[in-house]
Amino acid sequence: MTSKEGRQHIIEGLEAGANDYIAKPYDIEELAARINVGRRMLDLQTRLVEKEKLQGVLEMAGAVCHELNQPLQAVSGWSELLIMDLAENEQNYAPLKHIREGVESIGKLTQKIMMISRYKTVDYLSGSRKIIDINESAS
Amino acid sequence: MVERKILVVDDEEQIREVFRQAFSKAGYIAQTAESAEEAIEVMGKSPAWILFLDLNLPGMNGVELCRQIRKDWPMAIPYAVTGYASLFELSDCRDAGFEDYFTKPVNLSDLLDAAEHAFKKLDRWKRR
Repeated sequence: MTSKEGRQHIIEGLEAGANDYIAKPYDIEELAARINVGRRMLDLQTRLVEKEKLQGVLEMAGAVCHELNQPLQAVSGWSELLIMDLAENEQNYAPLKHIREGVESIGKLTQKIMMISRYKTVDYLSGSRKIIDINESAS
Repeated sequence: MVERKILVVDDEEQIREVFRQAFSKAGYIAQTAESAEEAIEVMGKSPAWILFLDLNLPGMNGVELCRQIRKDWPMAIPYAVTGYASLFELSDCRDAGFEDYFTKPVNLSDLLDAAEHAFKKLDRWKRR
């Protein structure tokens, strides 16, 4: 707020980081309207940051899925091919089944990562850092 | 009965090889190509009825390849197998002429089911 309407003061104030100014004596309705302008700007800033974060997450998700699904397909395919020839009581059946189950879990995860459409985080290590909540972000 | 010939197109050697072995084991004649350009060459020499195409290929991509194949070999049935589902929309794939769409990692049994189903369809068409 400024009581001096001098042009130079206004410029100095805005240059110093003020978003707006109002001259004293101020009109209460104008002040309320200007506060609403400020609120809209804050809202836009928040939305922009969220959008940029989501964009980053999507780019990362794309890269991870692409890079991960290729080798995953090879491991999944070879283990499926090997297990086709085995009877359940044979020595390598159980380990191969575990490999297949592991691959299947990772596969489900990459499918979920590909569905991410929102930016939602969850506390990790008792809240000392935040990680993407894949279930919430992909639902 | 139409010849049980399948073409697998993927730029990853391990994926080509594991799919090829799975189809061979199931009694199909499986050929492979590592790019769209090579796939067109293989189709020119020895056309396959069923194709499994990776979408993210170097050079011409899988969707463009599918369009080309449906144009030059209209009876062929192409399937998309992609590592990244969002690369192309399902509607784009259907528009290009893909019969169906699989996301990696896909179970070999699902691909074998798709091949069996497609060959049954081709045999039905052939009887007309």
